[in-house]
Amino acid sequence: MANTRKLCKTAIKYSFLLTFIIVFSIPLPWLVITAFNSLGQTFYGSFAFTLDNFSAVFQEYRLMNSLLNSLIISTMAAALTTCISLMSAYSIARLNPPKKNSYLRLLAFCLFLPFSTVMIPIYAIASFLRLTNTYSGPAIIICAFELPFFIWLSKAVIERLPNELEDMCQLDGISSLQTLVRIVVPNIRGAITAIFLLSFASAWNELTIPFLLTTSPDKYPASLFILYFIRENGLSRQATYSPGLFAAFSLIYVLPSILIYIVTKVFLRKDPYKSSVILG
Amino acid sequence: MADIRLLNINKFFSDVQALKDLTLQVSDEQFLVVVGPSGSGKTTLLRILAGLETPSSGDVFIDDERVTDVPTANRDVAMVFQSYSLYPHLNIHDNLALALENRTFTENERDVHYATKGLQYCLLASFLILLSAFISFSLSSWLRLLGLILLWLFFFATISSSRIRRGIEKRFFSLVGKHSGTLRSYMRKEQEIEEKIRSTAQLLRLEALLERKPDQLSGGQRQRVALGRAIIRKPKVFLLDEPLSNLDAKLRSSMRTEIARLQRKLKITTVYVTHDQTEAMTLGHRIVILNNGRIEQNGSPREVYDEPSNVFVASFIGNPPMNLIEGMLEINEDQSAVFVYDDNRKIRLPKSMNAVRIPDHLRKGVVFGIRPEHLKAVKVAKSENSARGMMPSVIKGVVDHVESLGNIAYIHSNIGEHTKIVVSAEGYSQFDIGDQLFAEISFDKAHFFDLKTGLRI
Repeated sequence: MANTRKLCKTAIKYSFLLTFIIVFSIPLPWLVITAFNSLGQTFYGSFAFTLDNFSAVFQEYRLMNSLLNSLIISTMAAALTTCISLMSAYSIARLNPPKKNSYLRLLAFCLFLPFSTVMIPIYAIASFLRLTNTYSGPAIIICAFELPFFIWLSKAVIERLPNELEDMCQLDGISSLQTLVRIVVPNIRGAITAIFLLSFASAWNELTIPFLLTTSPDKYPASLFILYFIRENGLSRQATYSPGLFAAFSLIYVLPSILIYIVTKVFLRKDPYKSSVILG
Repeated sequence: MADIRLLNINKFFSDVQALKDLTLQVSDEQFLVVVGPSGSGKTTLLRILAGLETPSSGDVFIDDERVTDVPTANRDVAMVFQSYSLYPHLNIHDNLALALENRTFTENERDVHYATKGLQYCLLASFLILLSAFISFSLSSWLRLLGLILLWLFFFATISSSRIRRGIEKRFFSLVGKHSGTLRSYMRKEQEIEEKIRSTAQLLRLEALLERKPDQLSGGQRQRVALGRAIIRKPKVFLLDEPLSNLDAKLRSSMRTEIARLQRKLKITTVYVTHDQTEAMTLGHRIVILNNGRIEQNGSPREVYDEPSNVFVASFIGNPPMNLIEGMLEINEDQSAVFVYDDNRKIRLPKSMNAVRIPDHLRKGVVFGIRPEHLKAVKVAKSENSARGMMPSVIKGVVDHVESLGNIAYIHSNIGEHTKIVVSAEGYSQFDIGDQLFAEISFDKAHFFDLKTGLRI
């Protein structure tokens, strides 16, 4: 009797889980199959293996250009985020600036600020500063929205370093900037790499900010280009771009995120003071 | 080289007072040990001396110069932390060098040095690119790939070996140094640093370890590196914060000897913080006992041991600690003084003690203190009444527990309902658990403390 009950419970639990898994994972096989299918969008029809879609992506100027745009914007945003978050996290964690707690509270508030509420002022400021249709515009604003999270993260990383390391630097007469550059940074290299890659990935996936600031298709990053793709062409055979091309492009677009996930884990294990904060 | 004076130091951490009106003087070349239980403020005291904390009030003088507001770097003090805190990403050589670099080089020299370094790498890189270009144009396709891979592999292998990198640097720098006086003086100073590192490594037997990273060293070796980093720049004052507490017992005693030897040799004023009273007794010229941010006693190891100024010092110094028995002083019917404890159990006191100490404290609470080694355990008491006051008095007890260490045995025994004492005996103990024991007291080594104030009478 008890056994049957247990079986029933397990069956119900797993049927729920399976439903969710199927619902969420359908797009992925569709994407992969379509990307390698020469017969266009066929999830039910026949399948013939081909790499033509990929070679078509590499030959299409606009697609490659959007990937390049994404790369430039994400690199800029990630570099900015890493530098600023590292420095401000160090000062918060170690130098005891005045009003430190209210600053931290402000950061926590910014973490939960929905982007749509500040969309209009940001657009106004960006167009006043002539940052629309540039690379630096989206990069700076993406960085601004990533910063609160990454400052918290780097603060947690830096706080794991023993205090005595900095006491030692004081005794050795090393200034605080030098301490950051020569002592702190080398000891959290892995974490810094991870922070860079994570912020790169979130900038790479960012859609709304480039969407707000970019109107010229020349400056479209890949995420925006996929949206454009769907908007302009739908997914029919008559469109300029075939679904196969779209799927292949999406796969290429997703690749960095997967790579970053793997590389981050590898890098984080290298630090002498391991930061379980990011490792999870 | 320097004496230290602390004047009326107070230190508050929010509302907790860590140091209370502390005044202390350490004379030149002295080895001062600050000892106390955890939370007594001894590390705070050291950090104030180092300048890592600023006192809430009071002044710090080093070498008759007021340094209360002088930043740590300019005080010329060196400190060794409990956790050693070596820079984990640098090898031992660079760990030692970093302590000197900031004190040795001028801004200008450093700038020229880095500029030269940059130039060197630019030249190296352009040379490599030229070579790569040559390979790619001259060789056939697969050889070209192989050649490039080999070239870059070789390059990275060379660069990642610090010895080779230093070798390249030296050549290049001597080449450029011919034309730059600043670089020449930089190089001369660098050589001096190398020389100092070599002699320090020799002093501490670290020569074989210079290329290793701190995490490749054992605890004792790390400890020696930490010491080396402190002594390499010949500071005015040497501060040690429980340096031996992370080592195992055997290593600790050998490092203790080493620290004492080093201090004698270098003659640097030293303040050593510890909670271990063995270290305090063996190392210090002078011992300061700290409790709750206050100095309980300040004196030579001998004074502190033989004449503890209060109950706290008496119980803190000595292992096993002094036997402390609470009780009262009274006069017997025959006019001899007795110490009464634990519901009318009595210890007869010799006449020599009567006159000076007792009258003021008659019928008041006192604490009787006697060290285990000043008690002699015997099986049969010599007839107590034969020569009153002449014979050492005895305490009667029952053996409760025996600790034998080989050379010495500690006999714990109950001498009343609530009172226990420890008696030490040479060699192995003659007593078993449950035996009756008589402890003969040598009264010239006994102390009385006021129960209320804790002060010695």
